[in-house]
Amino acid sequence: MLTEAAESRNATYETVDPDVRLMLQVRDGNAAAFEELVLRYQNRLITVLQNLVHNRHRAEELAQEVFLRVFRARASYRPEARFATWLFTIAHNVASNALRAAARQHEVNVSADPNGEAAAKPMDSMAVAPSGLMPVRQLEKGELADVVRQAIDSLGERQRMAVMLSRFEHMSYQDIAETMGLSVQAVKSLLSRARDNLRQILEPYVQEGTRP
Amino acid sequence: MSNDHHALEHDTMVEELVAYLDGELDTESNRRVERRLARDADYRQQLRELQQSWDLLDHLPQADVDQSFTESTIAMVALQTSDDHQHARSRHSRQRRLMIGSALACSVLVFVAAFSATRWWAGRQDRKLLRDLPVIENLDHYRYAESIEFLRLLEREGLFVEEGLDHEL
Repeated sequence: MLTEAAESRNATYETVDPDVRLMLQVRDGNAAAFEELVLRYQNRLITVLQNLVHNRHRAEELAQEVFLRVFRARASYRPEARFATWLFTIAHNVASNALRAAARQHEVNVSADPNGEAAAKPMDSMAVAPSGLMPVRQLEKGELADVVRQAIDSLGERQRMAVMLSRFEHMSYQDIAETMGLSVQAVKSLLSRARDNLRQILEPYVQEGTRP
Repeated sequence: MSNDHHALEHDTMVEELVAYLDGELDTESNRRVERRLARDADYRQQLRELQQSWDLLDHLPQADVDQSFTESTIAMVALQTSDDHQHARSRHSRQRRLMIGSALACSVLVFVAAFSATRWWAGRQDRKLLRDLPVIENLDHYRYAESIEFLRLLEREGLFVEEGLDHEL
């Protein structure tokens, strides 16, 4: 049983968000509406997931898992947020589960390593490099992409997710907070720390004017 | 202490600049940041560095999948949800069979319990007669006894042992 305020809020999302209207059609059994949603969101979803799990094939699998969950949830769908916020909330859960599973797998692999040593991330050494040891040559476009990817990898999972939603989905702090189940202030701090970390890691490459 | 203070000041400044870049400040805070940007070169430098490193994220891979991904997603979802229905149907059918089985088992149990209770109830008089049989058989003898004390005396002397009357007394 919805309260009047909730009904009014749902009606608002239905009015302002065309994707909410599509999802309501999916709820009512319109398969074409679901295909339209997949078309609209597949690239956006894979972009975010790929930068979270660092593997294109895995990102595609996870994106399909997200769409499957969306379809399975259609009967109980209520427009209580923007559609993108709802979709990326599911994506966040799916990606978090996948990353946790991968971390457990990694732990097993590391403990199976007879030397018992995990390989250090290359970015760890980059991040602490003194400014006198900056890269001196122009980075190729591919190399720069690799440097940026490693900088992103050096962030924690939550910082990475917040950065992806902010950068690629242009979500407000409020929407990121809803997606990740955090307070707005927590998102503000998370993004601030993430961007400060990125700045520290990437600044040497910016200073050298090596951007292609 | 001084380092902590400096770190806190740095964090506050970065948080403010990032929120400014993201358009998340209220009007008053926005004006305050812009006033400081106009007079503080170091502050401006911090803003520039944050913006430049943020712009580098454009180099991250961005997906551009083809129609086959869409088709395989739709097919996978259709297949999975069809499996879901199949599982739901088979679960429903299993539940129905289980319910029917349970109902049958309960009926049998109730029938057996009712039958036993009826038999027990019906045999109640016979069991009482059977229990009192030794007394009934010796009733004529007991009539000669004048009192219960006399019978107890006879019992202590072992007179009723063979006749199985000790329990009845």
